[in-house]
Amino acid sequence: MNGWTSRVGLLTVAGAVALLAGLAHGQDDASKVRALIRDLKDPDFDKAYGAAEQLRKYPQQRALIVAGLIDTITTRDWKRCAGDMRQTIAGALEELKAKEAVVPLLDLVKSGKSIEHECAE
Amino acid sequence: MLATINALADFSHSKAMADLVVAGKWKGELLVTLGKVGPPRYANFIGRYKDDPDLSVRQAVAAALGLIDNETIAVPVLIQLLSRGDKKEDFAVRWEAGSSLAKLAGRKGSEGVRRRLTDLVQERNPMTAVLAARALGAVGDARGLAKLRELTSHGDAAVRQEAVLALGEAADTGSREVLVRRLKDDSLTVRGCAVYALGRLGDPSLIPILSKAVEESAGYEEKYGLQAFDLRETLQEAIAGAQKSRGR
Repeated sequence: MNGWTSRVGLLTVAGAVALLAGLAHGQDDASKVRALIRDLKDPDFDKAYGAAEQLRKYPQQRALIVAGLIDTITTRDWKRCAGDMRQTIAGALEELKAKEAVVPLLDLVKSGKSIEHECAE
Repeated sequence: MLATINALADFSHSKAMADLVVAGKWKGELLVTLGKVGPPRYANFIGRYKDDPDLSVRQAVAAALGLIDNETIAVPVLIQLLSRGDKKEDFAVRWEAGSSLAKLAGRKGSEGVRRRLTDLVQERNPMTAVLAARALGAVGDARGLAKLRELTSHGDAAVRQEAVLALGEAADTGSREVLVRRLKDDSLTVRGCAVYALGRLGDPSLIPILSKAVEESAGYEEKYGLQAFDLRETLQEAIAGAQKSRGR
């Protein structure tokens, strides 16, 4: 009985440790995603583009990413290649099947901001 | 951006898209998305742009009406788009309208569409006839295939070209002989189309005939100093198609 109790205790502790590690990992990813979204909003195209590419590595943070992408595409501008940047973000939203992005995207089209490919690279 | 909207939008976005079209923004792209996701009543709205001065918008109307579920409105507009305009630039719109009619003719209970297309096949304008026959042929309708075979020997090379391509698209094995005859066509474009079409039949016994035809075409080009076409790539594709069938 004592052996059984201690085994259950060990398993509980191991489970709790795993759960905490998972949560910590999730929190770690969430903070990385937040940092990347900050970079995405940077007016420098290269920095923003690099962040958009990195964000693909965190599909489990979908909710955070989609909100960040929608906010960025509707409110931000870039010093150069702004149309390309918007296309990149729109592509990411499509990959994430973010239907909630359609209305903001239509508003963006209405705004007349550039949504076309501008840069050679 | 517009591709993303096209991929993610649903019927609830129809009004917002229609408003943008009315405002003159990205009409063509948004009309196609409206055709894809819009409720049937939007066929009227789409059809309103059939006379737009912008060719790409008219082409989008033709594509969109093949997607929306409203044959009553879509078919007459598509027939009009297929039949009108003899300028070179009109062809893209006419071709797209034909493709959309083929889609509608392929749907269940589409006898009405097929009947309208059968009437169009009798049109005097050979391009209208060939495009209507192509739409019928695409759904395996014998009346369309028969007309296409007939038009492979029409006096206008552009008509022959479309007829041959359409028979290839339909992979119509009953057209083997008429297509082989086109391997010696005066027009190198028609010859190329015949190579493609015969490749689509998936008959390995055609490989030597196709190879010989391409060789002869090279000589023909040299003789007339044309050097406009290189049929080797088409031949490779045709052979690959025929060989795939052998592996089946």
